[in-house]
Amino acid sequence: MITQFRKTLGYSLTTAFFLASGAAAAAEEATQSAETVSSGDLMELAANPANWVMWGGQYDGQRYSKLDQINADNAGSLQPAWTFSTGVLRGHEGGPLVFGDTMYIHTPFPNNVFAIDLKTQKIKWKYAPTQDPSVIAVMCCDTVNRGLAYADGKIFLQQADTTLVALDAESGEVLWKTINGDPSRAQTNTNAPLVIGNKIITGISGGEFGVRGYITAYDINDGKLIWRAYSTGPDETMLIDPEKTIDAATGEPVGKDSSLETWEGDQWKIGGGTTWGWFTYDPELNLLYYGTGNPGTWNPAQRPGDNKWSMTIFARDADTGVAKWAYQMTPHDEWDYDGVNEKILVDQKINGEMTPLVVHFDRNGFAYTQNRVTGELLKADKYDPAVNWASKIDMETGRPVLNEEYGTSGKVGTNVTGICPAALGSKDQQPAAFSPKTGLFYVPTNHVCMDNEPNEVGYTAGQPYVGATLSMYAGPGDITNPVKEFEGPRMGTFIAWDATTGETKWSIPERFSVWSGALATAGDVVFYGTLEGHLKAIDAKTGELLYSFKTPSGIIGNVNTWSFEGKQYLGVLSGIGGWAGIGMAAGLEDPNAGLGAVGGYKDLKNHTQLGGVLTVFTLPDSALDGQKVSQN
Amino acid sequence: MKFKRPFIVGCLAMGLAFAGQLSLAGSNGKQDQASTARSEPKTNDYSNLGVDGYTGTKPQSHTQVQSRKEFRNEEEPREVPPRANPVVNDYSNLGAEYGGDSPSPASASSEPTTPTVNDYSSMGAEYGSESKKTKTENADTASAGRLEPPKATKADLIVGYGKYHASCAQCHGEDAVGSSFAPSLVTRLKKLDYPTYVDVVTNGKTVFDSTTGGYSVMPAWKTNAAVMAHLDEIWAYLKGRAEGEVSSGRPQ
Repeated sequence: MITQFRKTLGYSLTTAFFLASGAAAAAEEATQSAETVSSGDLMELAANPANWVMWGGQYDGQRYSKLDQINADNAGSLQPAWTFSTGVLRGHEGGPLVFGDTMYIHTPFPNNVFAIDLKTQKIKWKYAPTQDPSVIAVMCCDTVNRGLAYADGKIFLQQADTTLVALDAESGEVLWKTINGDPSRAQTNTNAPLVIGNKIITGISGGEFGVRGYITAYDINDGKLIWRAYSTGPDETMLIDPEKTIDAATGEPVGKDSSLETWEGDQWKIGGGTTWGWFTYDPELNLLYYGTGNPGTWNPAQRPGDNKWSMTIFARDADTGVAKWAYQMTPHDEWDYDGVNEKILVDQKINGEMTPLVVHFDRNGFAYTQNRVTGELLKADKYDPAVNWASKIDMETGRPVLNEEYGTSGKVGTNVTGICPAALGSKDQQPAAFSPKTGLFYVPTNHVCMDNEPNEVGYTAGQPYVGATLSMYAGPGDITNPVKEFEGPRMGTFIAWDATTGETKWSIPERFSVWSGALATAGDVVFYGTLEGHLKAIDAKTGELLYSFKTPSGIIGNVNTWSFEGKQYLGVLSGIGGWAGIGMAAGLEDPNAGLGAVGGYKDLKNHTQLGGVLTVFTLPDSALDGQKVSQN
Repeated sequence: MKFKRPFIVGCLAMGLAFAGQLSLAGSNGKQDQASTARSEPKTNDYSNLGVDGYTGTKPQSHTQVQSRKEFRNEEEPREVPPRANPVVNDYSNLGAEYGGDSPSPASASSEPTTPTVNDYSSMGAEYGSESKKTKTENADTASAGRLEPPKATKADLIVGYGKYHASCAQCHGEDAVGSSFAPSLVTRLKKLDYPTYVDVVTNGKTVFDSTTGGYSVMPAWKTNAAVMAHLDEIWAYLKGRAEGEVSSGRPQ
């Protein structure tokens, strides 16, 4: 397969390719045909720290780079190297991909794609899809796109209108397109797809519009459907084996009709469980890990039962899609705690034993540590001390122990106050990072609570199906091991978390939710962006601030890193939007506080405006001291 | 195990495909097509791209792309027009038929013929329904004919607050202050008149927003009974916000 790269790249690039990557040995050996593209090919590219070829760095989603040219001693000297305006002003989630000497950038709707020459920053090609703007009407939470996928000389774009496109990475030519859903039924897409071998995996959005969620695998060569697994309904449509698929909460097989039995009547048909988050993969187990979203309406009275398999972590066989195990985190959701956040795969010692783990920071405020082979629940702890909808997760049953006063079930027409976290969760889609060097997770969190009044809503296909009135505001002052003092309403915290003990090592308070994807590096520096727009470099061990730079707009994108011609670079998209762009009324416990009240979205407007810019950072040559980037 | 036959066939096919002997698509020429697409210049047919066909700059052929790299400074980046004819997959045996119904305007508005008439005077009583069925409310299209809104009461503001937040706040923000992708209605309602408000909410509006360089899309709510039945209360709440008579937070 690498031989095909040589044909398509062109001879002038081949030399640069070999210099920039350490993959020379791999290039000599490849004899595989395009039909049998294996995960190994992409893993080789990803293993080269000069590249950043998938959203999570590697299949494990750790968002960790072995690059260490930028370290805790010199990070203070970081500087912007170059910038690029995407030409779009909406929420910019996700981050740039880099392969060889080319960077690939995506935008929010209309989902343009740019291939940028890293040497000259020229635009090599642009793909500008034609999409009907009416799809915007059925995207609940801004017209974001979480990014591209790269494999086998192709760039893959999952468009908002559900079209999945394969582009030739060198020329930008369209190789194939396939339609993944139907916007007239309010099915749309915002997720970044993931390539596994000869398959590309992608989800679907629309949980606020009564969409019945599913995840699909297509052939990367021609877009043909390989398998699709629904999140609710009959067993065969969910690719669940009643005898073999394990319910990780109990350790037992899920049994027949595990979904149907937990819904009344036909509610499962509009039962949500959408799959708009991040996907990770274990090549040795051949398991795909992802989560499902809310069970349709936010009003629990309209859907009695556990509502499986919404709010669920799934481990599926990547070849067949059949579920090996499933674990529902928030049965009968009352708060919109979607279970779609990234499932990070790490190997760590827990209870004295090296264990293959999957760690997940859920919207519901609990950090789950599970055995990723069996799904066995090992730890589940609050990663924000303010979390109050449940007191704990019962380790025997795997179910949350609810605090009734913060539930909304049976309380239609009642305003339930002070629920923590708010619907947007202790963490939303913004992905965390893991450092194998420190053994810690670096987690961008929200510290927001809410009042929630369930209404009743009738379902009409293609219309929002929300059913609750929310008011959100900054959480209380509780913070674990803060690195600094902080005054005023606090809506965000960046934490260092130990998943083997369930403890926060240190916390960095932030005025606004930390809505960017974090990055960890071997230089023992971690990175994140703030909603005011600051790109921050932090000492991975102590939480000390090493560098801060105000980018053109609030950051909801992911910080990625790569190297080019011997230098390490960071890149992050700025562009406020997403759910973070929706007003959050901080400090308004007094409803009569009036229009002059400070805080929340009104305050965010004092710090940033719309934008759409990629900023790339690097160390100046003077800080490098003749040091070449090491790739150990 | 009740997997349907096509699924089992699919599993077998997947196994074979993985062994490199067979592709699920069944196309033996797939390998050749893929490499052909890369090594030979692709001539695209633009004749089906709109009424007048493709009128922009024709992209270079593939071989010219390679040579163009030597003259990088002189050429402009290519803009590749999207190709038509996406792959059509057959989802019919995968359980897709269990999903929500696709709305045609006729079916979506075919509510039962005797809609419930709600009594707003005692807020809260009728909202505690145990019914699981789609609640039918009085789809009040009389609003469309009015030039002036009806006189609002305190109860209307409370209903308007609730209905606004249940359906509109997702985009227009809490307390109607707006978001990064939908305007502040506190500002908009200062100048918006009632008939225009009814029209925009009922029929939607798509504008190319020159301030952002992109589209802004207001959905059409005409098939949503929960909103259409309460246009007047939502108006009362928003107008009150715009004129400073209703503060942020829940009206008491």
